[in-house]
Amino acid sequence: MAAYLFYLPLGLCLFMAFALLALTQFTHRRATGTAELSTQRARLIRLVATALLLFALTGAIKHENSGFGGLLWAGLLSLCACTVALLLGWCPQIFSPLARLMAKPLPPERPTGKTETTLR
Amino acid sequence: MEPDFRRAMGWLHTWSGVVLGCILFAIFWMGTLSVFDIEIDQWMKPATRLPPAAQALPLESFRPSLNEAIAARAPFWNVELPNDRQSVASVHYRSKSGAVSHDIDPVSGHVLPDTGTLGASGFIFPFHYTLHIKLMNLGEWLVGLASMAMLVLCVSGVIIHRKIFAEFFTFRPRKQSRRLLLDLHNLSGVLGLPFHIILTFSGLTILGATFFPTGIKTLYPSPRGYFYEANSLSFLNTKPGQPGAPVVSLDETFKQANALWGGDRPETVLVFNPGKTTGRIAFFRSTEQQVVMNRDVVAFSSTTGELLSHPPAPRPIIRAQRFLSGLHFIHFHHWVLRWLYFVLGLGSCCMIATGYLFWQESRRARQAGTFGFRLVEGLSAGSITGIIIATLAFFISNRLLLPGAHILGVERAALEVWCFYLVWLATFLHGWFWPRGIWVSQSAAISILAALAAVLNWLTTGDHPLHTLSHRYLWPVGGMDLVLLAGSALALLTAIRLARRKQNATTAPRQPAGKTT
Amino acid sequence: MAQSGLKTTGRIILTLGGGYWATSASFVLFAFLMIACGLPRVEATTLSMMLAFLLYPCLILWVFGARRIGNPFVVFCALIVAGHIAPFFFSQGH
Repeated sequence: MAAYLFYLPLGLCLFMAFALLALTQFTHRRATGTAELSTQRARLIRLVATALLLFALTGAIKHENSGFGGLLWAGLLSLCACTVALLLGWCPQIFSPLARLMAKPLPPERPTGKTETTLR
Repeated sequence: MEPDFRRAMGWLHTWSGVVLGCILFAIFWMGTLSVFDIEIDQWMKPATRLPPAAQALPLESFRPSLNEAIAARAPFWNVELPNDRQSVASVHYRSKSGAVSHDIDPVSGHVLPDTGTLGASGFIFPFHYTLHIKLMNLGEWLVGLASMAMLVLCVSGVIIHRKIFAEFFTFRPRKQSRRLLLDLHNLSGVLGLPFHIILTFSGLTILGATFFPTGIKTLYPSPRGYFYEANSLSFLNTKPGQPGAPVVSLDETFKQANALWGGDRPETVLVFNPGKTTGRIAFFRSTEQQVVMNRDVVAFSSTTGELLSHPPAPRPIIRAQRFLSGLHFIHFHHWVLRWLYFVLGLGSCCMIATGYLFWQESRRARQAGTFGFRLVEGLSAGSITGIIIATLAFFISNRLLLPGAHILGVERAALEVWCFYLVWLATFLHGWFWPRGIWVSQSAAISILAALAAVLNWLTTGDHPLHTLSHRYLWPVGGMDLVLLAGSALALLTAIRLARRKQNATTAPRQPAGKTT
Repeated sequence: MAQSGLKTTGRIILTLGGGYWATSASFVLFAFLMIACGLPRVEATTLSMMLAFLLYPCLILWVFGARRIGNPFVVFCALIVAGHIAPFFFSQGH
């Protein structure tokens, strides 16, 4: 049973990565009732999300062998992305705390006024 | 991208989808069920619901069945040994009257009583890749055509999707039904894209030699030669030989194979040309713990017990091909991955279904009464909800038919298949002649039938979910019951939602519904 | 529908017949080339089979995406001819 405990954090990691990616997009920020992110901030967050995805992949391969790990990662990828999309559709407000946290200024820099959504 | 090209791709996507969607849905639905084929087998054959044996049977205990195969002059005989998905062993051979297979009690070694069903591995799994059309291999060619169309659909779908990244996570459940369907179609299509493409592609490579027969014939004297070489089975390339030769002890022979493998168990033992002078015994090493279907086969002469071949590790290209077939066949034992496959398979089904529905929703206002629209409407009802209803009818008939039942000379196993096809035909007719409210009534039918199947399993075998879930060896049965109940609840919810939506539509200005006959 | 019925029928026939035949021919052609490069026969066959399943959808998309079907038609003919001549050139490769 303990062996199965690995899949929960793996799924959560992927879920977080996709939630971060989704919340850099204008439509989803509006749905969660938060302001748009600055370009720089959005880029930084996308980088973090990509790192999370890669981290999950290495974790999965380390834990299983490369075949199972890769398949598991690819399968969970689709599933977690779908979950994020469905949750954003049905109850976007559960993402609001995360969305607000993403917009919080880091100590040394301040978000500039100019914003755009590169992904659009 | 030029608009002309995009429009051409849109045309291709729409029409190949509409024409081949019904076949694609059948393939994906049956493939999704095949993920749990052994588990469904246990549900359909109550006699095989046995706890695993503490100690494996010696291979010689299958000798009586082997002797039957020798007497029947079978071209091959094999035994699949118990593993952690299946506690019974099963023997198979082909006699003159057709394929014979028996389940063997893992403790006593006796043949278990035959339930008289093809089960999932005999009906659902072959349906996945042959559609059960045997005429000139037409079924396999249709599956090939549909799979190729699936690849084309995936690529053209990505091309015509205007805002693939901007709408990556877009799902708007409160919009009108047409928009909602397109959202769902895009979501399941784009997010499941790796699954759709890889599974379709690996499926094609598995049947590759069937689809390019002329190419293989140019390269090889016979297609069989390529099959044997690619699968490390060259030891099967023998002459028929003379009958009357003995088959040496399976256990003694296995000791040698066991030594070569360093103590691993085989998953299958094959005796080729049993009882002939050119007979072969082959042990297939179990590949439960890896994706690649390694085909580590140790082969012996069945008359002398002499070691004939033990293939070296495959080279990269062959290994890649076996990785692809391994990830398609899912012979490995990994429960999380198996459920993932199941869920993603349902996602593919959802994509095909929503594609069909979107086509209808975007044309309903303009051409609801036309012949073409009515045709597709019935076709989609029969191929989406219809095949689900037919599968449930197959399960229910399995629980309701008495053992040994036959009507008009049709055996019990064939009766179940007849149930499947008759119900399936009925759903098509329903779709063509009474299209009004078709989705509500068919969803409701799914809901009732799924719940009925689970209840019938309880009534006929006494294995109710509480009992099955408390015993590890009954989990496959309990799991199937729970999936049936969950599906039933989901279908009920869908039916209620659809009915409510329809009521709202009647109070609002009505859109013209199809003619009623 | 953007195209006339006759053109569309032509495209469908070209993909199903010509596209398949051209794929099958290039499968043989590529396999012989690989064998000539020293790959064992079984690997050459397997590799070119897998590539053929990638080639065929590309050909289909090309036929439907191209403005005129003359180009795909000519290329398919060339591939088919090459695929059928190849066995005579490489017959010692068996």
